[in-house]
Amino acid sequence: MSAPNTTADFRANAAKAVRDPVLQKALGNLRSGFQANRARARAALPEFDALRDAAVEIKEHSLDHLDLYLERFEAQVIANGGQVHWCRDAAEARAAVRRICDAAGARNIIKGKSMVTEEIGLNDDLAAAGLKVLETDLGEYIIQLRDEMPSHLIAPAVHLTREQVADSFTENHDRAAGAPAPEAPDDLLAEARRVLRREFLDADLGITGANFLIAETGAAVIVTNEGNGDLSRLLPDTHIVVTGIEKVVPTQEDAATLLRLLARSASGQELSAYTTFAAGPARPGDADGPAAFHVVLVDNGRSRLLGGEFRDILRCIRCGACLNHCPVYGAIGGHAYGWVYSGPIGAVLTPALLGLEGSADLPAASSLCGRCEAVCPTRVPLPELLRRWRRRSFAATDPAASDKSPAARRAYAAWGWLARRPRLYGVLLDLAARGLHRLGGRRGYMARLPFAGGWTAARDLPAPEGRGFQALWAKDARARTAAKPTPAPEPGKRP
Amino acid sequence: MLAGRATETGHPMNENPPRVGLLVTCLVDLFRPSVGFAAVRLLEAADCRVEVPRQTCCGQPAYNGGDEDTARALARAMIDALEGFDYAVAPSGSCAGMAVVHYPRLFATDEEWGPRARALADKTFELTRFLTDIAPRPIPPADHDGPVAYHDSCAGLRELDIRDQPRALLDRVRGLELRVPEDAEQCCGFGGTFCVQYPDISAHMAAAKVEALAATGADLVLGGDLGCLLNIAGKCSRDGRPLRARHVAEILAGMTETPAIGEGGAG
Amino acid sequence: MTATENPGRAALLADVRRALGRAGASETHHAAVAARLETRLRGPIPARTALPWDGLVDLFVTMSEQVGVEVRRLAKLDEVPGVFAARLAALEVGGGQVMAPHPLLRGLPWPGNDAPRAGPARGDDRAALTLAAGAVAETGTLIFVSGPEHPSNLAFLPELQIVVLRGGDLCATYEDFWDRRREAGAPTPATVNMITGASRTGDIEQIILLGAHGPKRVEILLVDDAPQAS
Repeated sequence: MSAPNTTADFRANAAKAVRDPVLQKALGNLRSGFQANRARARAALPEFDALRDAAVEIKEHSLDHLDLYLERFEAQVIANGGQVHWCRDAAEARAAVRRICDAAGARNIIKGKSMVTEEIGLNDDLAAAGLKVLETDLGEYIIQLRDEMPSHLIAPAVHLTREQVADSFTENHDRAAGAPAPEAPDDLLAEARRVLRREFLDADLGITGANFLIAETGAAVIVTNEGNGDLSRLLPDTHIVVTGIEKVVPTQEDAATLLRLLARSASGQELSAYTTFAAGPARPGDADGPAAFHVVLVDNGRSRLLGGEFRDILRCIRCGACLNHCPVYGAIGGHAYGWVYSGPIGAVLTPALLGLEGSADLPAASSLCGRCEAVCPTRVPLPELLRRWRRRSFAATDPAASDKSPAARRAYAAWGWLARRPRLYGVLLDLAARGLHRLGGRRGYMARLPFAGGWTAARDLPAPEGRGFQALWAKDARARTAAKPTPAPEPGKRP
Repeated sequence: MLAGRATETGHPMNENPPRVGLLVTCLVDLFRPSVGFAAVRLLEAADCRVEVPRQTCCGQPAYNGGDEDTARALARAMIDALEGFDYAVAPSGSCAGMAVVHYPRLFATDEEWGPRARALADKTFELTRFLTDIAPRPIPPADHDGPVAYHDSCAGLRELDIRDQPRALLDRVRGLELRVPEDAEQCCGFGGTFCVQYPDISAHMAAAKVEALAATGADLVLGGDLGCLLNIAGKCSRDGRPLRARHVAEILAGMTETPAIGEGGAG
Repeated sequence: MTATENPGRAALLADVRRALGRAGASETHHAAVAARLETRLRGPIPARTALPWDGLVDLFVTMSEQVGVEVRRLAKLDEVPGVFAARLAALEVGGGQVMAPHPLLRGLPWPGNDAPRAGPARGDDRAALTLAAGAVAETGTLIFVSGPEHPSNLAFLPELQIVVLRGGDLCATYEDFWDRRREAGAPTPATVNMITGASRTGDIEQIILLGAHGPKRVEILLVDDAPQAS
């Protein structure tokens, strides 16, 4: 069982989101920020597309040999002095982390940002066991205060304004009685830094994710801009890396290729501020570093994906570019998707990990504009994967797995029946053109039309010109052939 | 009375003009035959002989809706109708994209229809691309007074890489001033059945697109896909914006006597 | 817990193999993995790094400045203590100072008892003097390697970090750095930090702010005369 979700409320959530002025203001920052920055970074690197091709090759090779690279990675981690835990599902992963915490006698846990720990519902589980778990990535920290899910892959608090952040700090931080938190962003950051610095120093165990795992050296690559992942690793006695199994790549060189794409695709930076290769516990004699190092490998549906038609999604390196360029995400934000993963990647991954029942709207709510695929550093064919979910949805007998109401399904079936019958189709189309043209009247459009409420709620429907094109063409052709003798058809050509 | 009927251009055609089958598209068929006639006029001006085989729909709504059976049935009918021509041309990036990119996928493992789909894909083109890159003769320059914004359809852009071709054609339109909207490549929110299945999201995207187009100061939006243009025109109309929309073929063919999309005045 | 005590291990690997359509791994698969790990093929290397050493230094300085990191070029290592003190004064940074307990830094001509404390950083340290193990011109990136003589936390706890970088330690690319370490037979360290700019966040309204949890400011002292890292 994974973290709870509200995917079945997608339509209601989306409707609320497009009408939420605070959210819309926050989402507006995405276009001028992430989109423009990525474009600039790409323009500054002529090798960008060649790197994408190399990245595809690295990921495909790694996935083709995933078992062997995981084994090699494990051997290296052990040689470095660490331990590896293999977990088939969320429950096993949570149990493994709890066991490690128990063995370490840990009470105060600090965390770097990790989507997979959200996926498996780790924080709630540890809290239920009486352990204190604090998110240290500023965005994750803020949403933890607000008890919300992240709304973006790399910018979890992108949906919030500074006023909302200040409110959360006012409610949760110890402060002189009555004094509200400042609203200026740098003051907010200074306050968060002070509060979290104390927590960093007090923590006895740190949990991070990993962007990549390097089989060659047994290193977990941890990428942040804040340095919170590093503090989570370096200050406490125990460092746990929780990671999906698909993150492993063969060599440091392979990691370098992927790293060249990651920050540029995510935020337009050449490289994130902190790219860390965490390969085990401190060595004997090291001046600092964790005494114990654990890697918790999580499957939770990934091996099933590996063997199926959605395998390509395992190439995702969690950069968030697809979210940043998706007009649907840009309209509704991440929470409307109802779970940990949002945007185009979420629309593919959520039904894969949770099942199509209840999440069928996610892959259907897309105009298939293709921008996601165009910006994906590892060329994941997202529109095609969305279509594959739609095929399953269409074929599903369980109505919860369908994105269309029974009435809509009947309408599509009727249209499909008609479209297979060209003469009848042509006659009815011509009739419809005449009828709708008349309904449009002198204005030339219809503000209301039965069965077209979806369109006319926010748009007028331009009226047809009044006849079907093929009807007119046929009429015109008859007029032309009536005026001239029909030429004999040339041999071998159609008349 | 309908205006914009295709007429002979009056110049002598060469001995063996390429035979072009017009892929009408159901939106042109139902909503705006002027676009079809403009396309025919342009193709004839470019020295092609145009025929319109009986057809219904390229199958895209079914295909995008996950109904591969219906999509294949409609695809077979379309392949049947068009494969006998030298070229198939559609005044639409998304319908052309359907034939070029997706028909081969639909029949990837089909021994009979796979080769036929691939053969058709090789000779199917979106209109502006055909006129710029393939047609035997350039079309004569047209005239248009005033500022115009061009909207690229997502399918045209990303499936067929059509970006330069319409602009190259518009460049030769005397008096036309091309304006570029912000976020020019952002989807307008049509997306076929998407716009009626997820109307809230679609309307939001349409509003953003129309805002950006209006901000250019252009009084006319042109595009290569009627679906986008109906969406944009419908939103402009509802919002009371003075921005009008036409298919790019209408301007290129000099056929602007008809009212713009969603504009009244026709009898 | 060793590998064999892991109950989920065999099942997980079996799931992976089943997904890949095979029961085990053949000779070919093992050979492919071995070859890949042996060859360590590089991906496309940005052409901007194909420069002679002087050009690389210029590139490094440009890229560093692009991320807000000032680079001062020193002719001699001995100049470091003076510049360190001057920078602290100019930036008005008081409070605890700490430096990496590396012989190269300890052996500098520190005036009197003014050498920063040598060792790991503490919560109240405000400034650190660190020694880079390498740097990458391609992106203006500094590299630190954990060890007895270099606590990793120096690069994270204090607000101001001043980094001594020996010119000979500058590499064109990340790959060159890894190659150098391999050639030197260096074992895999516990922690390698590749650092590009100061700590930052955009989590509040996408506005970039410095000093999120790590340093607010990073400066580099690029020394020409010092020997390369051993």
